[in-house]
Amino acid sequence: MTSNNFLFLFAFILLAACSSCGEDEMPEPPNGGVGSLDTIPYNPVAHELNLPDHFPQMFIPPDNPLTVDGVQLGRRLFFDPILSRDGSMACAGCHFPDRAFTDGLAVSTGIDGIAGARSSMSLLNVGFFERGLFWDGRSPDLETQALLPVEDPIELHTTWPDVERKLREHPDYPTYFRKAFGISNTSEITKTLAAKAIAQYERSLVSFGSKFDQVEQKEAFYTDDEADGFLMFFDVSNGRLKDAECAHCHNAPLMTNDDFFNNGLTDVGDDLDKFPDKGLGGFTGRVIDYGKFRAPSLRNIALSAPYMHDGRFETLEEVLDHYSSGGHIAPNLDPNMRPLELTDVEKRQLLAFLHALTDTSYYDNPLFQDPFK
Amino acid sequence: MKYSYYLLLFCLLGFAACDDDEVIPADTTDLALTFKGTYNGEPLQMLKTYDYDGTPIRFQRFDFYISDLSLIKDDPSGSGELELKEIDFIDLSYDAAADASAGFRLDLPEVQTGAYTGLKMGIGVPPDLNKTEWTDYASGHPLNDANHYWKGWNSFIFAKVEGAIDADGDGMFEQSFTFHAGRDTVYFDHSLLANIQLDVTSAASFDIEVDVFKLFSNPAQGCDGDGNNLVDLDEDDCSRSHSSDSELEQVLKMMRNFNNALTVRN
Repeated sequence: MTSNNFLFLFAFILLAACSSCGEDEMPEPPNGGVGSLDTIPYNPVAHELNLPDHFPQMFIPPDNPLTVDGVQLGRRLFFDPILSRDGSMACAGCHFPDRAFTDGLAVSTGIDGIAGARSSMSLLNVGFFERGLFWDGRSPDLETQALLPVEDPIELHTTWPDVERKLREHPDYPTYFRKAFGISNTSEITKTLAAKAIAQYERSLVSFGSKFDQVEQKEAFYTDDEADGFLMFFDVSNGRLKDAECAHCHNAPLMTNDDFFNNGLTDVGDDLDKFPDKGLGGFTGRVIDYGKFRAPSLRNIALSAPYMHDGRFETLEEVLDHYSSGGHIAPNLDPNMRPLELTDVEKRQLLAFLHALTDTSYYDNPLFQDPFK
Repeated sequence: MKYSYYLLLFCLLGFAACDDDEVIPADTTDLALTFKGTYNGEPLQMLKTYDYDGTPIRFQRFDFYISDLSLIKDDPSGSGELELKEIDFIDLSYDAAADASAGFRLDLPEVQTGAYTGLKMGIGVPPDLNKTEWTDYASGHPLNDANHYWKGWNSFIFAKVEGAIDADGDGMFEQSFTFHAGRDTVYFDHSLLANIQLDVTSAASFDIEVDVFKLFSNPAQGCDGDGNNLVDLDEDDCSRSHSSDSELEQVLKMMRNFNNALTVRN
């Protein structure tokens, strides 16, 4: 074969290879993931949340509207261990769908086997929270929050440049990013877009199928214990039943006030500096915030043991015992905390109501499940 | 078809002209109202210890809604009001001394100039808005706040006063108090008389002080065991009120007390 013939054959093979790339196929990413994506269709379709009437509106950032492809990309990223240094752990490693997107551990452990200081938080309805995410409120929104575990040395322990490189070189992700965000080139895959996609997915994790929701929509009735638990929880019995003071921090319909409180877990006497974990105060630097933590939603609380920011309580019964005691006095102990001296019957009634906040209907929603299984 | 082009051109020119000539009424000025919490005349600071008739007292939260904020016109008929704001949330829970002294500033642009004899406002959420729920409002609206809605009453929480006292003098503030006022029956208008002259030559600003100490005066029946005309904060039945029927009287007194607790200063 002459050199001219060889060149011709090479050119032919190259052309044939290029022409075989159909519209729905992923172009081979040359040069370390730099490649045009313009031939892949970009037709964003809004992802509808279809919230019930008794739910608040969710704030969606104008620069990150929910789309079907955006949510799907976020779902893949959420469940894909590609976001960790050694490919061993995904976001979902601390957020199991069947545990209300928590991990069932007192404190979570990252890829190096190092335990963190706090318990994994449920992600159901997390899209409604606007006053700072994490137990200490240090992230203002989901887009910011999604960036942090990737580089945290006790979580996924990698770097965003490394993740970006892996995503650009991946056979499928460039197509998914194109469909989600309309990027023209694999080089436009960034941590910002990855975080946006994960945030879209997290906003899609809405849960409103509990018995509480059914009663609110007049589709069900509480049992006697659930009803009395409800009345104590919201203090609506006009003195017939004890005020359990729950709704000051866990108001309906999200069962959280989206705020931070010292609920008396730690005995620091009169010295707020003694809090071993300063919680919100560690972020704001304000002494009055020391020892305050986000009041989590009580929706699906029966699925998300153990409880509190450090997972110190294994059961809901222990939680009720704590609130019945009133907690430890401190200058910033929430004033609504006081010794309740709940009887066994009252605890049983409150427990019954807490179980009425469980929603397992989302188990059947494929969007909530691991796409790689 | 060509008329459509003319119409389009005309509209575009019209819009462009609007951009350049934003009309600011000639007879308006900017008004700033700064709300400041005080305790017996001192700036109110969270977790600072004050004296409650011999008992140490600390606060953790003091906030309230204002509604139908209006200027009262200096009108011989006495009926004219200029509405400034339908609803807003005033949070005076400042823990830093500087913040407590600075207060919560409410900027009201382009207010009609003229002579006014005072301010009028409701403390709380007026009945027409109180029919709604916090979930009815979009993010950023003052009423979009789960912390200030109580499902049990189907009402917003108009005001919160929370803190604790050291009843036995051992240095620990064990006896907490929480007053959460809500429901239509505790909504009141308050008129604050002041000579307010607004003219176009300069922006105007006024302070509105709210003395929390005065909210505890004239207690409900059975809550003045000490005879000092102050709520017995060391009594559970008097120091916690969430505006349920059985607890309403003390909250009612407290919300009426806003009338004496509010002062306008130039």
